[in-house]
Amino acid sequence: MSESKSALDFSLVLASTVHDIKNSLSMLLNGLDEMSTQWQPQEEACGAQLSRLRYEGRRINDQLIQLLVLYRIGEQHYSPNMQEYAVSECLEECVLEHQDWLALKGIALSVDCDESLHWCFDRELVMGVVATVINNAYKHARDSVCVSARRDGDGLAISVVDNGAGYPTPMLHGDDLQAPGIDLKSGGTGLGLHFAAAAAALHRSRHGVGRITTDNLGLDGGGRFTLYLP
Amino acid sequence: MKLWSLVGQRCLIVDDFPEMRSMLRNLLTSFSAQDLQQARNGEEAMRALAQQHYDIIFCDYNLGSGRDGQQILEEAKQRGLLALTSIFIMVTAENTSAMVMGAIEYQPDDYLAKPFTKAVLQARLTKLMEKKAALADVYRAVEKQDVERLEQLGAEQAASHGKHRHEVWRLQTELLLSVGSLDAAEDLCATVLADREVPWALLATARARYQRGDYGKAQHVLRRLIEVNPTHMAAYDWLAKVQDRLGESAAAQSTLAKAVARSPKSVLRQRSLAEIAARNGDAEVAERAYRQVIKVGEHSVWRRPADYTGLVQVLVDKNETAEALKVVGEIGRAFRDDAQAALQTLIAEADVHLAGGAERPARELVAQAVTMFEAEPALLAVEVGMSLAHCCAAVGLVDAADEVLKHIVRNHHEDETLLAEVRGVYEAAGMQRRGGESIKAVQGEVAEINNQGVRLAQQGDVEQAARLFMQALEKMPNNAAVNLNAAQILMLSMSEHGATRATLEQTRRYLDAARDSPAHCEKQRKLSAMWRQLAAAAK
Repeated sequence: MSESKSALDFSLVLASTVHDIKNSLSMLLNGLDEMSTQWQPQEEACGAQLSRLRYEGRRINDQLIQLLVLYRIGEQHYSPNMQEYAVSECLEECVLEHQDWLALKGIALSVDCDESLHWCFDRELVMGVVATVINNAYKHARDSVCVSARRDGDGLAISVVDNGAGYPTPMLHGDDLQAPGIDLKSGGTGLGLHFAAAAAALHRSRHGVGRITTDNLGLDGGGRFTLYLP
Repeated sequence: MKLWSLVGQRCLIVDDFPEMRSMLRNLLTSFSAQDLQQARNGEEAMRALAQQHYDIIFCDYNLGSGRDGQQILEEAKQRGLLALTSIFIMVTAENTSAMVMGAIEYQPDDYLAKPFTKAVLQARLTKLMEKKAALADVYRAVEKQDVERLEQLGAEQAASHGKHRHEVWRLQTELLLSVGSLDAAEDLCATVLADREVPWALLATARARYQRGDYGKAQHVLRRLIEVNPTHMAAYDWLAKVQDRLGESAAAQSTLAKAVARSPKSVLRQRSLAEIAARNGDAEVAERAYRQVIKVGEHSVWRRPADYTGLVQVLVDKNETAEALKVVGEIGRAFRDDAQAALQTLIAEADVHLAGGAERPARELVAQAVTMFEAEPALLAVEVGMSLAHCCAAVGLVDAADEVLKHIVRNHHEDETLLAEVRGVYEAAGMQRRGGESIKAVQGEVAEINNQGVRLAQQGDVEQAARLFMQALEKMPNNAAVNLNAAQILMLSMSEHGATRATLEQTRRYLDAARDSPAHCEKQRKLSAMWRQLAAAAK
């Protein structure tokens, strides 16, 4: 009894803290957005710095989401909110959110998705995964990142490709990746993949369970991340 | 890029964090929004929503103390303060799954996760405004309950393969179910499901079968829905209802327990669990669920004194008299200036004393309750009336018990299930014979009113007949047959002399009052269809 009570209390503390952090992040990121619309043309160095700050802000947000979702999954409290969405609309929104600050670093972000493609998924989870991967690509891409979605057998495949140097070997995962262990020595990226795999696995239907793969079949040998949803 | 702005849109921002409010305000102002109001908490939000219509509402889910965003949405919808054309956006800090566990009709138009950028906000608003504009005719038809028009619009969507066709069909199905056109609803769902297993269409199919009384088939569909979509909470609610109807009340309780574990904030679901656990004699689960209902329902439009009295009953059964009295004391604090709650408090307290063998204080409380009932009989809901009659009999106020039960019979003179319960109360009080006589007398009294009214109408004295039924309804406001007769007479009069808005509304109220009576559902449907024609012709 007392055990579950303290877990509940922590959950409440967490919810209210996250609420506060999200408010702060909102102020921070919107402030940066406003600054970049005002200053962008004049100074290149300033733009690069804003882009960098924007990246760090997004990283805090992505990791916060990851931490929280993984915590909720661990506590068996996470129930995915499955709804039907136009996939292209979700991806385009993702691009809207990221393209400006990627552009500040000279990276073009594009979408390739059939408008008629609809799918049932947890939007926050899936967009959280895509955002994380885009954020990661920001660091590695030379000048191009592309988000795409297509039917894959009975499922949906969402890919993020870039034209950077590709994933290092330890981060390459074939078809069997559902929930990799976290290698804390490799830094935050391990958590990102772990989160992506866990988010994928929360999607299940009679056609199977969601999963992710990583390979270096992106643009010019760059990284390719794929999320498969049943 | 095409010209887009919020000019002419009245917006409401609900957030407890001043910086967030001003940030949102700046963003909206940059889209040329001029008419902007703000609210800091649930109370201010409800006041604003009650005062005027808003086109766009941004509401943070987490508002500190008081109502949360979901409770604001539910209350606004329940009180009719939110038009179908309004856009309600829930702004959230984290995963929305805890919020979307209610019924689909209490979901916002969209969720917006913080932090969001100006570009994303604009994209979402553009999309939502386009959708609301594209569906304007559909919403109008829904609000007018114009089935024919909505069927026409649904067919148009099918032909043009419109972007929002599923939304139109879903609304169409809802309306068909609510007016009892079960065949049409099922046919539409079957067409949709032939293409893809969409959750709403599965659920609607199950509901149609439930309404038909075909519980086996309803259960089959619901199991399928849960298999495809294990987080579809409404499916669990309906499955529990179906299981209950099939006499599997233990299974129903376990279905609800599973759903409640996933959605602890849903007042209605917790209440269903509490009630069924109490019926199953599972005092532990019932007590926990009732306490949870009271806790999460504190700021909810769904809270009821009956949750407290239900808890009191459970505690009495557990012989926890002191705790039961404590809960009784909380009713008055939770429902100030609420006569109905005051009446229920008296009865609940009397119940506790009776269970503890303290007849004298019980007698005093019962006498007070009877005085309240006599002054305003309409205060007495059926369940409360049964308890009151039971208490009256227990303290020897047999005449009062008889009056209370007669009042129940007068309002439900053809409901056999309820009449059996009433007979049970008479029997338990050793008043079997008197009960039989009273029930017969009241049934005769109601039948005489109905006959007299019909006679008057047949003689062409519609005015006199209408007056008779309306007068009768003052004494028996919940009697389905009399309500339907009153509605029929008013519509007869309107078809002769033309409809007025006030009379249409009055008729609607009579029809609504008869909606839950199983013995009258066919007539209720027929008259409702007639009402829709009159209402459509009047506009």
